[in-house]
Amino acid sequence: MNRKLITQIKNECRDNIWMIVELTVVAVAIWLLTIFLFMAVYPKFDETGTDINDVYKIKIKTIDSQSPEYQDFGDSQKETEFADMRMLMRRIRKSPYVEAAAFSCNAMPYQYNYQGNGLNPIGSTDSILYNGNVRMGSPEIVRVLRPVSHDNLSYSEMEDMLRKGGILISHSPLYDRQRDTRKLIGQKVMLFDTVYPKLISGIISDMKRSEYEHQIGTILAPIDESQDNMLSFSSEIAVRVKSGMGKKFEEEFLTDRNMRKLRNVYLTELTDMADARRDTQYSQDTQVRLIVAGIVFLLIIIFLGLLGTFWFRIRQRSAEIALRMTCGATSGDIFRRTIGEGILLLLITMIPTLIIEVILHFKFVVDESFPFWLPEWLPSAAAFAFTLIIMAAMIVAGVVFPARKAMKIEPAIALKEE
Amino acid sequence: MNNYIKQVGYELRHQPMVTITSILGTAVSIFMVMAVFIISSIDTVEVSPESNRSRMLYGKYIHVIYPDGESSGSLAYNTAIKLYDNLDGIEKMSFSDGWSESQDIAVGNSDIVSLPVKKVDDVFWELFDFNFVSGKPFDEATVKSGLKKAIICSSVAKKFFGKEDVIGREIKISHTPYLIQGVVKDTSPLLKKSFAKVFIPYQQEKEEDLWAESLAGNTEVYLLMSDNADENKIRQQVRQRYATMNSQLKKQNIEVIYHETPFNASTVNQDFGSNNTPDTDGPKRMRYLVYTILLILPAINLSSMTRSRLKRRVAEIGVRRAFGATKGGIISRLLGENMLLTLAGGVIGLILCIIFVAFFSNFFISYGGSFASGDIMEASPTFNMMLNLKTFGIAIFFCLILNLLSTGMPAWRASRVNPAEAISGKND
Repeated sequence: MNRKLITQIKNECRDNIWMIVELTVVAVAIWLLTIFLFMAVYPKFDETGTDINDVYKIKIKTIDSQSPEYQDFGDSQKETEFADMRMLMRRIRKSPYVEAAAFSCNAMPYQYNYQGNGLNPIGSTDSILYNGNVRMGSPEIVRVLRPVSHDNLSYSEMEDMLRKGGILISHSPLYDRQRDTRKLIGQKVMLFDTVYPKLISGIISDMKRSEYEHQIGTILAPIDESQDNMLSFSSEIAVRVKSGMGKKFEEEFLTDRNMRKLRNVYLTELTDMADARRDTQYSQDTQVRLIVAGIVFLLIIIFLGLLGTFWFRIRQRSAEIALRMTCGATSGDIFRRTIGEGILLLLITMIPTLIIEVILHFKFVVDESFPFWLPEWLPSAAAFAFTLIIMAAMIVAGVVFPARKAMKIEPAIALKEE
Repeated sequence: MNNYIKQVGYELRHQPMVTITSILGTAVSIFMVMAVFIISSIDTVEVSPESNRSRMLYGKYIHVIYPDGESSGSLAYNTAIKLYDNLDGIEKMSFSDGWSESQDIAVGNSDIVSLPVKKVDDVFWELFDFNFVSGKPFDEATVKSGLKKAIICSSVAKKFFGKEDVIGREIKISHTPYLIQGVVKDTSPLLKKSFAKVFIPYQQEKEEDLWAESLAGNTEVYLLMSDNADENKIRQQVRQRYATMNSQLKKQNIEVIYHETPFNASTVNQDFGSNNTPDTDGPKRMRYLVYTILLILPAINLSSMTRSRLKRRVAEIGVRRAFGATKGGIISRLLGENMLLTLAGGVIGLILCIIFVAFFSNFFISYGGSFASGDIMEASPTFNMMLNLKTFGIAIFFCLILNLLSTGMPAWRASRVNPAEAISGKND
């Protein structure tokens, strides 16, 4: 059977060479697109490290000194503004719909700010530093964003740690490659300032900036609301509303002017984090959709190509098929043979495809931006397997109609026509 | 022509599957090429108010290197003047803020709404052809004296006043009252350089808002080139000015890095950092590669199907040759017949493209996260941004290329048949 198939393929050599060229180009293109897709989508399988359901962010702003509403407090201008920020926070926390609220400085996900800091334990001479994105918030930020503790700590325990001036860090793939993040627990570090050492108190999951981002390391540090200099870092308020109370809170925020404004300080741009997530990731979502559209297009092209070519072949070979049926071949034999021809073409195609892909793998796919915690061969191998399966499926789909047509050939009529 | 149509009709009757598959293959291919073309030309297509895109250059960002670090960001007004004022080949220059942000808008005691506000000068309205519903653009005096006047979009007027005729009414922008002096038609957020809901006069930065040794601030300049001006020559002049600036900054041990400014529309709409030279060739190369793949693959496909169809016509071609048809005549006939099929596929492809534009385009157009929450829903490209004469011209051009690629070789081979062998059936 196999030898006959190979002979058959040799007989249609010229057409098959074109078919193999086309399938090779398509296979390589699908393989490359699948790797892009894999790389783009892979981080989505990691946990995001925060829970944004029922969470809002609100911007804190001050009125411009040119506005007629501006109030001048002379030397105590800044102190008055910080006091007013605290008062507005108290009003938000009093809302019957609010579960927790915190001042935030880069604590919220779905924004691309990066506030990097290298942690060097006091007294350590190690040249390898733990680097992470510093996310600062009032201790209540734990109850708002619900970071995931790796030490089975409750939210109130983590909140207490922040209240006592401790910091929480996540595993950082880059650091973990050379050192053990867990060994940093209990060590004191200087974070930005050189006045107050901070105690590394626990490990949490990385609080990613978006679902498409690889883990980069998180340092969750406290904002002490009683200190003006700490409050000056804060540009937004993070709010967790009670489950299902989002709309009620939005309504209260928009109607209650006292909640929104106090003298020169006002709160604005109340944003549901689900919307922030959608807006921030729109660009990456679009990229993924484009890659998928590209793969679908390539599959349609090979489907149409195979359908047209095999349809014509079956028509041309109807006499031969009729003769074989007359000699005892069943319609199942004819069907299997036609499908087998398509699959054999695919297998032949996979030889040049594999050679090209190996070259591309070493030349382009493996570079410094490759996520180093994955085996280098994994995306390429997974993409190859995916390409093989999906193309086999498409070839079967493209050949199945002509094969069914071949099965239905009436030997007598076909031979008579010939 | 009549014979061509008859032949195509015959093919459709006698080889329906292969012929229909050919037409569908062409349709899918033309659709994909058009979709890629439309998506990639969103940043350069000339529609109101950005009808001058092909003549516009954009000066943005300054990158400063100190002995112990670096800063980069929007230009300061004075830096912009030094680098871009009075360039040969530039007809007009306009100033705007480097980054526009949402500000709180309210009227009287109405609810506060956060909307994108852009600071622009009087020349801005000459470079961008906004459609004024009422009122007029800022004049030089308004901008110079920093009057609290605003031009708003008609959607803002309707939202706060319930009508568009609101000239002379007061609107609060970040708690500061402004008088409305014009109402313009809304524009798409995809037209990034002109998009805003509210426009207020541009003001040179205050001393305290400057940074990076006062070289950086919050200014961006728009330059309108004269007809036939060469943008590369303009860049050479700017490069020269950077060199002059560096020689002046040498005493302070500071250097400014030249990043191939001013940018054209295609470059400026890419997302790139203020400390980088944008890659202008990379996206172009990628686009050409995508076009090539989108044409070559269907061409191989269609070529194989065309060859299949022509195999059944070997005898007919032999008869034509025997009766004196030249090889060129056979080739042009086959190309002509196939062009009808390709055009039929092209029309279906265009219809698919129109459906795509109407219903699905915003799924495939990246907004780069540049807009405030809610703008995405508004940012669907309009029909005139995507379908215009150029788009149709490109569609026909791609049909021709596809026809040549897919039929050229089979037609050439068919024209070389030996008439005697073809008629006797030996060429089958």
